[in-house]
Amino acid sequence: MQRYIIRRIALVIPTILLVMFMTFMILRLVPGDVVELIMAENPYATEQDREALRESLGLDDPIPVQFVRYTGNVLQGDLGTSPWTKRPVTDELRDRAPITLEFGLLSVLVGLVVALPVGILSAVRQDTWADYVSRSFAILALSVPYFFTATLLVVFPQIWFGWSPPLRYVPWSQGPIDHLYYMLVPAVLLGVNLSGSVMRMTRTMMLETMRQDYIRTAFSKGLKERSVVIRHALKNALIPVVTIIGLQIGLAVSGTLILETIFNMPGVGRYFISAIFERDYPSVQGVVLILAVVVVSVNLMVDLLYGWLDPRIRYS
Amino acid sequence: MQEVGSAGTIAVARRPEHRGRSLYTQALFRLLTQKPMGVLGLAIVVVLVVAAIGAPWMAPADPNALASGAKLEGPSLSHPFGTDNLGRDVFSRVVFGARISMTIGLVAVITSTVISVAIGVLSGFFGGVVDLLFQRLIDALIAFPGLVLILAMVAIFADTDLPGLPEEGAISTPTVVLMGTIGFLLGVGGSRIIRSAVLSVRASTYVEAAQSLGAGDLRLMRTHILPNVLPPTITLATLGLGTAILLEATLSFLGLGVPPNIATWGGMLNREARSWMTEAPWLALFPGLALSLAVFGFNMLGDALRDVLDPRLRT
Repeated sequence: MQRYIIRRIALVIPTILLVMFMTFMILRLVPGDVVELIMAENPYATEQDREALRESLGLDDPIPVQFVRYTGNVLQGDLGTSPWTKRPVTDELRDRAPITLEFGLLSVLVGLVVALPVGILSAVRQDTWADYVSRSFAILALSVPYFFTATLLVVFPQIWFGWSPPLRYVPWSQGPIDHLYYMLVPAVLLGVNLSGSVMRMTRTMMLETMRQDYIRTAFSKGLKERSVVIRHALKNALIPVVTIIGLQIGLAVSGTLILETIFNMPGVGRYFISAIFERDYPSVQGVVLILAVVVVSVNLMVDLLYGWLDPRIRYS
Repeated sequence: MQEVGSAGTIAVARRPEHRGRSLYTQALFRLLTQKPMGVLGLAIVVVLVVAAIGAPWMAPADPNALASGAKLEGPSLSHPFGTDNLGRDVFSRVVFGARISMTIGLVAVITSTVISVAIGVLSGFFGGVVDLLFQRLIDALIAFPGLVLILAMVAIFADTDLPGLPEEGAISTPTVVLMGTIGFLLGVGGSRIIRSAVLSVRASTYVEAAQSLGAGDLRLMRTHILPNVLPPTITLATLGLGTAILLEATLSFLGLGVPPNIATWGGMLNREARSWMTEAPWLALFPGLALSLAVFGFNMLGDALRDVLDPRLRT
């Protein structure tokens, strides 16, 4: 187990370095000159101004030197400064990350609360109407985009009942109930979308487990269905489902980008989208790097958890 | 009916059987007779293809024609999906939206298929260092949220025009960047599945036999490897089309990607719908339904194809 953990953690380092190199190249890949792009805002810029900006951005050094410096800065927690707002990217992230984190966690939680019972029911009552309803729900959850359901949820209740979900962010400090009321709708929307794949995975794994010999043994011992399902089948069936949660982080991140924009949530997602519109490259770069580190770390934890839950799994 | 594997697991096909009808005729037959949801998916896909090709003949109006005096009208006989804030016929815009979605989806999927088969076959066939390098690179890319990468790419190329492309229209720099990035992402993800298919064929005795008869690498690939990775490739491409259409719509919904003067489902949900939705809910309803149906159709067809093309499940 120890060797597995060390090997798995060692694999993370090249991955993070690769992501850092990719985000570093984003600025250098921009066709045309970043300096020109920033200077385009200022029609009176002189050649000296350009040179000064080039120097301040460190673009006059050779690329390898720039990369080493960039890596050094990142390791010291410096993700650069937005050329427009002059605010350090880390400051922006510090304010916004907790909101996105809360939103993401709530969504994953909603997803699991919906997916696990429905997935289990669907498997235990295979080919009954409960199974068909659950599976149709899973397919709908996967196919209907949440930006469409979000739009519907804002429009139709307004027309029918004169009610629409709150679209103004309320911080926790200004009233926990209002805060949760605000968070609820986006979290349920994203959670339902995420639940689709977990539900399908849970159902498949439960079906497979319920056909095992030890389940038949448990039944023939005279145990009730309830205790067979919960105490014997569920524990084993849920192990592979853990990996799906790792895959979900990527989807949850994409979801927060879009739903934060729709619900005016001041999180990392909305910051990222507006940075893209404003051509704020240091911010884009910083967010991409942070998101990558989060996703890679969650996947690492999921893999380790998987190895711990199921001792048969050992990657070589 | 047992569902084997969820998204992500596409079972590996073994050697096609050559008795009587070909594998693909058999698969189609099984799809039509045993997979009602797959047939539904196929029907939706056919409708989409017809709409995409026949848009200029099917749509009653030009998608950008402004009909004065008919702004924000509800669905009626002359405008089955109503009109928008500029008096444009929503039905025509939805039909033309199918054309954009299908074009972008198709180009992205052709790109992804080339990438996934190339990486998958090279990585699986040669193994060793090539395989190791590709797999580490793919690990890094798969871990990464796709939408973030696409957004970053669109941002990078936002102020430029790639050489040799028209300045605006459906095939211009932003759409080409979009198609390329979606294709790249889907291709990298799919290469894993192609690779595992190649690995299992590579290990089979008939490949060993061909090899001992003196068949070279190229011959092995052409006569044994490629025909055997075709079934998972077809499944991947079908599921990929749904994903590509959804990603394009997401980008257009955010106001990035396809230029705003072109009618797209995502764009209609964003601009017209969000400004006028309480007065005219049909502006949100119909493009969203079209998009959901399209994604649903490709998902269902892909799932059914995975089942019928997987010989291990054949009875």
